[in-house]
Amino acid sequence: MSAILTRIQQQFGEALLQAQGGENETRLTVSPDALRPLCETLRSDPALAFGYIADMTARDTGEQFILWYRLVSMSSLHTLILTVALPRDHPQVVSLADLWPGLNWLERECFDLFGIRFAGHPDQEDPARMRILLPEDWEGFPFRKDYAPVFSGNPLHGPQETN
Amino acid sequence: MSMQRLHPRSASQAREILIGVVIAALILAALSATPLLPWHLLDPIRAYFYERPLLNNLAKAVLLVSFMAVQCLFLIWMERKFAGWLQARLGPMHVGWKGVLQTFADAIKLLLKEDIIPALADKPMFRLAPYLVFVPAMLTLMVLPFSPNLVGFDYHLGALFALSISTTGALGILAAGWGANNKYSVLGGMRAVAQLLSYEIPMILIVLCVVTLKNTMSLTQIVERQAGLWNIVAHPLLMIPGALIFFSCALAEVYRAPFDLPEAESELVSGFHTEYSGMRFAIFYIAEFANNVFTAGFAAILFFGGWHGPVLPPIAWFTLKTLLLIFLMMWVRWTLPRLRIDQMMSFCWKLLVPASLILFCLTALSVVW
Amino acid sequence: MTLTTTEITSPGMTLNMGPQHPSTHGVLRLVVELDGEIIQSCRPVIGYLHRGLEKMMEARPYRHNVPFTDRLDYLASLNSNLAIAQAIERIGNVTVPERGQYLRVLLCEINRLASHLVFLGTFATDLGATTVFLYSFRERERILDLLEAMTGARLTYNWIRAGGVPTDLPEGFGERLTAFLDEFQFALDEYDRLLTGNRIFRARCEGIGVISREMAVAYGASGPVARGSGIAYDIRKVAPYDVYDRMEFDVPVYTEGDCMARYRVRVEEMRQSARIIRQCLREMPEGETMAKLPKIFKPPPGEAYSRTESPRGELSCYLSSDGSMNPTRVHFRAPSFFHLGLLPAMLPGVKVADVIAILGSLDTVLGEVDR
Repeated sequence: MSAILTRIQQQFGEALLQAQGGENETRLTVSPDALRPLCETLRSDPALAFGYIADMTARDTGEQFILWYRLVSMSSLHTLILTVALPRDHPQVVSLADLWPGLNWLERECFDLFGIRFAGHPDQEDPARMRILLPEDWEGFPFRKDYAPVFSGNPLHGPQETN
Repeated sequence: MSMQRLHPRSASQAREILIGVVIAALILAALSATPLLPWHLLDPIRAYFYERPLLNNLAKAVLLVSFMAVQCLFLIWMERKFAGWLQARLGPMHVGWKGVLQTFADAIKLLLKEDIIPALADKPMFRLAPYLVFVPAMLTLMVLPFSPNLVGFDYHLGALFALSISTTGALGILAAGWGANNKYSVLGGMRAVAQLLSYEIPMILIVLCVVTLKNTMSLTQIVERQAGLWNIVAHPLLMIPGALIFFSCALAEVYRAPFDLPEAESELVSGFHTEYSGMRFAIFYIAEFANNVFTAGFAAILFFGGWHGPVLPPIAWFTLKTLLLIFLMMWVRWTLPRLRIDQMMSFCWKLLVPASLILFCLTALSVVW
Repeated sequence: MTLTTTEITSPGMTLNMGPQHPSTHGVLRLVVELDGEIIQSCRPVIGYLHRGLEKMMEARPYRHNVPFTDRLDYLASLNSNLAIAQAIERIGNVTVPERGQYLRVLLCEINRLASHLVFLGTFATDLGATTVFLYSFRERERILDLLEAMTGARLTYNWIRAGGVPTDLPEGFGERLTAFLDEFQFALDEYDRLLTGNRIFRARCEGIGVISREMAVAYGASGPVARGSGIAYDIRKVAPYDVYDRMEFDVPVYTEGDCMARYRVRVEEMRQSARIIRQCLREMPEGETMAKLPKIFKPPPGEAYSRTESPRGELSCYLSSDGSMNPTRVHFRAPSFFHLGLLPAMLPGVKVADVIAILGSLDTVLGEVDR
């Protein structure tokens, strides 16, 4: 077990639903409530110093949404993979865009494609500003597995077939 | 060694260069033989025009404008060929021999193009703007002495006239930028005016140096008083820096790289003429080249002895000098990146203006002593 | 009666740069608030090129998804191929034969050269020096000829596939490549001198668009952008894949963080890429180029991600599988996406002309941003 995992477990032992540590990579699964305190520590603790947001995405398993963060520490080059499961009926999680500004657009992308809400995101109030890849007035979240395209009436959105 | 690799001169290219040299030599020989031609046969026609001053002036105007249009066609071809040569490509090749007729084809295309005026444009201003640019460009050519007796209007304040008229072109550019109702055009128009007004100052100061040295404002007189020695040779300490400053200002006045900010393609999408198409665009284009010819000709008059030169007739010398200076402008254009607006302004106000002021003081002192 | 002075302010101008603009390198739209020529704020709008590639990939078997990646970073499509190929190999536990690994490194570095040459040309053109564009595209043309000989395509190669590389090098490829590299060295030095020695070019680049080290880390910058800000972060070194651990090359790092630093990193990277290509040609062993994959490829349930160094930065692909023939989620970490995210923080206070310089120095490709 790596020193990094040990250090995280000391502080967040009970919040970690699943933890697996390797030489270069640590994988953690946390509950949505523990995400914010954990990330604040990950960012600020000099022994961890995961200052680099390498990637973040979501996926739809059919029962829940899985958020997947990949962080890198620039001092140790250690990778940390953080997984958070969100309920499908009310997918909401705290925004981390203030910790890693690079997450701003990634969270917008996750909202855009999956409809996951990020509480505290600077653009969160206005769904049109939150949309990033899709047109501002798009309806629905196409990367959800149960998404059925509905022609919105706007010809700019393309000739979609109605269900 | 590496230059050779980049521009390999094949046998056919060597042959082309040889043909070019031969043609140039033939043209020069023909030109130098022009004094021998029976010009006196034209005397009745001349006399006819001299008796009718109005008709005479009209004929001059028509000649000047058509000369400019033809020269513009040639210059555009030359620029494109030269750019092609510099950029290791061929340039226009298909219309006519080596593409000489390409600009004619382009001109026809522009004439036939649909005339588009943006819906929200200020229509009178949009229509007027090209002419506000075109007319001053042509008027400046009026006082330019192409040879001792080939000058549209031998005005005794020619230098002043040329400078003041050329500045009014900025009005047309601002009108074009504003009238098009396009934000890029507005930015381009504002840049153009700021740039023109700033660079006018060192340019005028340098012209004043020459005027002080030669004690006349008439362009023909300035040339005539350089009969023995060109200005740049007669007063090298004053006129070499003067010519350099003048050349920099000239580049800015005609909006050529590195000072082509008003029409910066990569930033402002061609700036003030973004919205222009068809013939209106062509008029801007011709005006731009007329300005090029004027500034290059002006520089030739001020520093390089105008029409003076051995063997060849005066008109040939003047054209040759003008073309060489235009060539230099093209060379600069296709080599250098573009400056930023504040860098360009500080270059003018912090370097060119003080330098030209100092130069003017020195000139004045040298005249007094 | 008292005189009061009121400060006269005029409302700023909102300028839409793009989506049709010659210097936004694709269909990027920047909504900038201008005060005169100075940028007050900037909001990049992306998505004009969104084709839903990731969603399309969910409906296709793993290996059928490789051609889509050509359309991500279309200037370096082999590098994009590599990202998904590697992810598929990881999720399916496939080992690429050694020659295949060498070929991949070789192809990726050739493509990196081509991509950086486009950067060199377009960056100079953005600053008004149109001539360099023609020079660098002439060199790129020769690279495209080589890649065409290898893959049959000139832009969308689709030649790095799950399991390796489908064919070996064509006849005489090594000699042609070496001959090109021998000349390219001199050409590159010449273009570099042409620009680096130019005072106007330097005045336009030095101190412009500075990204501090902290900012680069916080915004997830990678590749030449990060290395121009003093972060020695190159996936080829920090997490070597294929045979990069056997290659000798340096990672150029500049600390200034301005446009000039990013430009220099890329020029130096081209030299290093040439070094890697030569080593590959020298050391490549004989053997198979492609691993055998089952006809019906069903990886075990789970997730995998790859990390590769594309010419623009860290390009990685995230795959998740439920044990069926198709992936349940494909996600690309596009480096340009992060670099564009830097713009709202970088642009306020600079001039309109600098926007173009900064955007050019980030070298974004909208294909991978919008996906």
